Amino acid sequence: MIRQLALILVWALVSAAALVTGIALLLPRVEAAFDRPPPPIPEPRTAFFDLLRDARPVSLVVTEAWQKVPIVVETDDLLRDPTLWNRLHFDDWDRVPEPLRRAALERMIARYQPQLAGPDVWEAMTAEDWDFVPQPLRAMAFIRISEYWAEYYGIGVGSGLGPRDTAATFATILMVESWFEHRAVHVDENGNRDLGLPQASDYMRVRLEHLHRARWLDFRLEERDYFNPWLAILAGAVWFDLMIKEARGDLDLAARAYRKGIFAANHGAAEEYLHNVKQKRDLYILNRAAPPTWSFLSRRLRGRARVRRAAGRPLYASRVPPRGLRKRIGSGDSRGLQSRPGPG
Amino acid sequence: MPGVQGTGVVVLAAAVAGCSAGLESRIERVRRLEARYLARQGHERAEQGDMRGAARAYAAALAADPGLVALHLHLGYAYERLGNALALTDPAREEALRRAAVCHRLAADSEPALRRHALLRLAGIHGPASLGELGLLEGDLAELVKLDAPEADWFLALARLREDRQRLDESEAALLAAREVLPHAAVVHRELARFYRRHERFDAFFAVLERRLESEPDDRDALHALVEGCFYRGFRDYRVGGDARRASVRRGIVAAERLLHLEPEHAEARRYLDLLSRVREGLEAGRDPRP
Repeated sequence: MIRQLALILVWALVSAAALVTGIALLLPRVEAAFDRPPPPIPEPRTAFFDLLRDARPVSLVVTEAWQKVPIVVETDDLLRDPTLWNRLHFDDWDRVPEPLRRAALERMIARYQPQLAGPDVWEAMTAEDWDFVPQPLRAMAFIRISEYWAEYYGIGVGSGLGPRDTAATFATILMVESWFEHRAVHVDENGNRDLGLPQASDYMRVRLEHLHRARWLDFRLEERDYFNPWLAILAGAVWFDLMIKEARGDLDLAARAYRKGIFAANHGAAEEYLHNVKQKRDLYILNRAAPPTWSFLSRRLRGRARVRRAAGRPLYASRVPPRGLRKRIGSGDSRGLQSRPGPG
Repeated sequence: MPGVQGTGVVVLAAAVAGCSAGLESRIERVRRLEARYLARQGHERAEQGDMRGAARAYAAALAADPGLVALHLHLGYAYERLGNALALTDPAREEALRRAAVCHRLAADSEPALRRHALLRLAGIHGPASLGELGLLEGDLAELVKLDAPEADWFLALARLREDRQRLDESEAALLAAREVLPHAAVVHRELARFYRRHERFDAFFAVLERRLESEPDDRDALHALVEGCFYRGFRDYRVGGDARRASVRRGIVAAERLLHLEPEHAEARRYLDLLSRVREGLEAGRDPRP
C-alpha cells in the first residue's frame, strides 16, 4: 500500500516535472510568438522656435531719410524689433493690415511705456533719448508735453481763452511746423534757421533770450536745447502765449502770427497757414477723422487727458514747478511770465 | 523496505525543493509572458487606431512587467493621440496630455536610448499651451540642448522663452552656446544678430555679422542685415561720432555692393546703397544729411 502510494507520488512528481520542463522548453517559443515589432512612433518634427514666433513674411514701407522704401520682414520683427518701429512713420503703419497693426502697436506701447510715463520722465530725457522712440509714440508724447506746458503756464487764460482750444491749437502748430520731428531744421534763403519742434527762428530765439535778460522770462535756452522736446516745447508755448497777448486774445490771429509775425499775420500766406492749422487740429489733435494709426494711438494714449479735460480737471495733477525749470531760475516764481504783462 | 522508503522521501524532497525553487521564477516568467501578450495586444490596437484600447493594454502590460520601459513611450503616445483628438476646451484632453507627459518623462528617465525621443515628445506636449507656465517647456529644452546632437531649433526656442521672460542674459547665453555648438548654422548667427538689434546693442550686432561674414562672405541674410544696420547707425544714431559714422557708412556701402554682386536684382540693397551713398556725399562735403 505504501509502496503503491510512493509510486503514485513519484509518477505524479515526474509528470509535474515533465510538464514544467515542457512549459519551460516551450516558453521561449511562446514568448517569441508574442513578440512583434511595435508600431513606429513618429519622432515629432516640432519646430519649437516656430511655435514661439511668427515667421510669416509681411510687406512694409519704411521711411528712410524721407524716402519711402518697400521692404519685406518677418511678422515677428514687426512685433518685436524697435529698430524697425523706428523706421515706420504714421502713414507706414497705416499700410500694415489689421489685426497685425494693432498687435504691433500694443507691443510698441508696452516697450516704451517708461518713456511715455509723464513730465518727470520727459524732463530727464535728452534729444538722443527721443531719437530712439518711434515717431508715432514721440508725436503722442509731444502733444502731451505741449498740453502740460500750456496748462502749466495757463497759456491764453489771461486773455480769456479756454485752455482746451489753446492747448489744441498750440499742439497743432507744433505738428504743422515740424511734423513732430524734434531734430527738424529748416534753413531759408536768407540763412535763417528754424530749429526743433517749435521751429524756433533766429528772431524767436534772440527775442526769448532778450526777454530772459530783461527778467521777463524765467528760463534761458541754448541753441542745442531747441532739439530737446521738453525745453523746445516750453519755448514754443511761451512764444505762443506772447503771440496771444500780441493778438489781444484772438486765437486765430495768434496762430497766424506764430508763423509770420504779428505784422504779417493778416496776409494771404498767414491765412493759408491758419487754414492748415485748423484742418490739422480737427483731423489729428481733436482726432475727429484721423487715419487709423493716429486714431488708435490717440485714443489709447491720450484718453486720460480727454476724460480729465471733460471733467474740468487739470491734465496733470502736479502743479509743482518742474525740477529743471527751478534749477534754471534758481528761486522765485517760476511762472513769472504769468505775473508780468506781455512784452507787446 | 526502509531503503525504498528512504529513496522515495529523498526523491520527493528533491522534487518539491526543485519545483518550489523554480516556481517563483516560473510565475514571474509567466507574468512577463502575460505582459508581452498584453503589449502585443496594445500594438495591434494602436495599429488599428484604437488608442483607448491600446492605452489599456499598455497600462496592463506595464503593471504585469514594469521592466518593459519602452512601453512608457507607447503608452504616452497613445494618451497623446487620445488627448489631441479631443477639443481644446475638453478637460479630458488636458488629463490625457498630462498622463502622456508622465509616461514620456518615465520613458526619458528609464531608458537612455529613448531619452531624446521622449524629451522631444514631452516638449511637444508642453508646447504652446505651456508657454508662460512654470517654465515646463524651458526645462525640457534645456535638457535637449545638452544631448549629444543638439539642434539649433532647441537653443533658439530656449533663448526666445527666456527673452520673453526678460531674462536677457540667459537668453543671450543660450544663443552664444548655440553658436559655440553649431558654428556653421546660419540661423543661429541670424538670430543672435537679431537679438542684439532688438535690444539696441549695435556693437555686438555688428560683431556677430562680421564674424559670420568672415566664415561665410556670401551669406546674403548677414549682408542684408549689415546694410540696414549700417544705415541705421550712420543716419539715425546721433550718439555716433563723426569717424564712427563715416566708418559705418563705408561698411554699409561695401556690404550693399557685395549683396548686389551676388544678387543684382536685390531692390532693397540698391535702395540702401543709394541712401548710404548720399549720406557719404553729405559727410564728405561737410554737410550733415540728417535733420
